[in-house]
Amino acid sequence: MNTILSVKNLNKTFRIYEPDRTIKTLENISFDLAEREFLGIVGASGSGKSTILRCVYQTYRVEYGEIRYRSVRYGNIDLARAADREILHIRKKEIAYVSQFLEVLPRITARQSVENSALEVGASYEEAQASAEEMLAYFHLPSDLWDIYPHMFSGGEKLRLNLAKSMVKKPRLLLLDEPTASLDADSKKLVRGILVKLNHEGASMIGIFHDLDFMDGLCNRTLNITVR
Amino acid sequence: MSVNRLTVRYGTGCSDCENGIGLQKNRCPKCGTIWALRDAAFSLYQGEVLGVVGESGSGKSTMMKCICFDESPTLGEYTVHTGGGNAFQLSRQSQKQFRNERMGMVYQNPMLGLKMDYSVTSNIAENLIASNCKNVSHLRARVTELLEIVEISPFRMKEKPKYFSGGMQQRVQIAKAIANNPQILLLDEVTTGLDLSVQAKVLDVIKKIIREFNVAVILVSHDLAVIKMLADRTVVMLDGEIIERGLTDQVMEDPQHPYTQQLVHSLL
Repeated sequence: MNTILSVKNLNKTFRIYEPDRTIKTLENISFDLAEREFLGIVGASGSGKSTILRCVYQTYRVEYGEIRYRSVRYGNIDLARAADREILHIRKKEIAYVSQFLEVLPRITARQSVENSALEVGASYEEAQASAEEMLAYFHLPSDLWDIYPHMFSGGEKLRLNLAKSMVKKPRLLLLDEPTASLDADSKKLVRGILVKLNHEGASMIGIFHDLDFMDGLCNRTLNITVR
Repeated sequence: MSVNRLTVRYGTGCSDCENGIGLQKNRCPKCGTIWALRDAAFSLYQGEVLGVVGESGSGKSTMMKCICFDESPTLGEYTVHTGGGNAFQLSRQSQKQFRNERMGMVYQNPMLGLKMDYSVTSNIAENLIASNCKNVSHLRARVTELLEIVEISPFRMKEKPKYFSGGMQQRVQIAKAIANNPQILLLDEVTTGLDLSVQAKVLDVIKKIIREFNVAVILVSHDLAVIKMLADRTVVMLDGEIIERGLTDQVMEDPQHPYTQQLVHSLL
């Protein structure tokens, strides 16, 4: 099978000036991700699991190491050295990052925020409308909430909206940073269902989950990070 | 568009400060020269929003003034996608024409962008007329259309902006700035000093314009929340220099420079 992502000797250190500290978070992390593979990252808290995902997504800059990603648009590209524009394009169309925190623009309704995501990948307005509704319904978000600003949503509702926003893009590579952290059992089942579906449709995934039962049978492989 | 080695200095300069030696902040103690901007460089693509942050006196506004030709830099190259050549070396006339046809500017202070004693219509139509749209019914139609975009009732098009609230004045400025479908939109502290709900309204309008018109935007603000919300990429300025640049979430979540760290950690 083809490799979609290959991380080699990834190192990440945070230099903080006030107070003066240097925090070494990742040291020589290497792994490969095959197409359609689901890799679970496990490790104690503070071991750098999220940092790996954030380096791949380029929220964190990488000082040493390579993150080779096979992009549709740019071919084999090292994300750690890619230009800002390339990263922006890849984020829009190819790689999605889902965390347990919802970040939405103020005064945008739940429906609009999912539609905007769909529009970013290049859907027409009608397509975006249809797929947004489909996603919101799939995640059992009550339809009377669709046209409300999500600030007042409950934790679980926000999370499901967050997932709907990312999933509507049908990303090629999905980075999941504990997206089920505050969900009840039923909602977790839904999330699991859509992850399986996306995975079958061809998406590759890297996920961090606290819930080991949730990971069981979902991930093809796990990567164990030890605390430094 | 791209800007390179943009430098603005007030004073004659001496051999020390020209090589960046012994500057106290951006002032040379030996000859008294102020380096308002020093070797600033960035590029901007269609449909992209570039955020510019920095404390007051860091050179943000000077940079904007240079870009819209309000001020001539001491040094620098300014290449614009369609033009070719250095736009800083064009004649005043061509610069003015370029600004009218390709650029929109919204100032922090509406007094700078609007003529308060003229009607909203004549304010907005000013750039349209300058770029040779002289048909009155076309003008009126376009002004009505623009007012709808910025969510001001066309019934008020004959009123003078001095009777408008701050938020509305900002929106009139925005309507004026986008009248010619500019390629570049410069927004200088557009939401500063407005109360929260009015600020939200202005931001709504800006978001709409970014989404629908594929314009390149430079957004100067000291409000990090605004930058976080709108900008794709961000540059951080300090004492006339760009000290950090990157994707907005990189700058916010993994700031490298001590000043940026201090700034981000002060965010509420």
